Amino acid sequence: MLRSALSAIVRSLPASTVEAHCDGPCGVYDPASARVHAEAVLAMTKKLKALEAPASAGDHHAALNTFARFVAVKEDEAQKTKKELLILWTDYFKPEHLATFPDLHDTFWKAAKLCSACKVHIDQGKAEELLAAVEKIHGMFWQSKGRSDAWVTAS
Amino acid sequence: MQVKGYSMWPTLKPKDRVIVRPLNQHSELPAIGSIIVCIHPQQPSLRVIKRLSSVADNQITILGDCPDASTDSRQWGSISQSCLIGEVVALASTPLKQGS
Repeated sequence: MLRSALSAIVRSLPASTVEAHCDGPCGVYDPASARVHAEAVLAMTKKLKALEAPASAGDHHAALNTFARFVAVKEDEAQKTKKELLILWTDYFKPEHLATFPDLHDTFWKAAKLCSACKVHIDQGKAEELLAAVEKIHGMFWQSKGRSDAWVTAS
Repeated sequence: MQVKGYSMWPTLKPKDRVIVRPLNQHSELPAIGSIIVCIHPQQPSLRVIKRLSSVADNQITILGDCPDASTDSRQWGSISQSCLIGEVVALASTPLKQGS
């Protein structure tokens, strides 16, 4: 009791700030960046699956070029999704958040793995799982800020 | 002093208050493992709170208890002992919120 009374007195006194800090954080985070890239992964995966074989031998190179471009964009967007997720995981979320979200690490780890799976494969199911994982992280993020922003997709 | 940031988590959390014993050049150095306050080696207007890790040749190395949320001697290297300005001697924790 004496200890808590002393603590209360100490807390009531004016105090200068001492930084238990990390250098250079801008403090601006938003899972929308990850969502846009994850949507692009899904869109490119659908486009790849919808590609048809060239009708004639003359169209062969054009078809290969289109296929290669679609794959390149899919991989690039999956890598960007992973980067955005890692920023949220390692920079925004803090140990304190684990009390509210005990599955936080598992959620991000699985989401990052899904990014890799989407790079390696042309798998619409994995791309949809990735978008669902980003949606879950969107919910955790805004809940941690005391908000309940709606999940809105661009496509 | 009031703590800001998570680099000393779980020992210290934001808004915790610490009582700091001021040190000067004639003071005996705190023991290794003590929580200390020093001047940020690159931003002299900032005071940082870390744990004293080692002392050698008037240089100290300081580390946060939560490496993922800390910038410290891993990035700065050892810093001058003259940056050391105090040792934490008492803590008044902020009560945890219900449900958090």
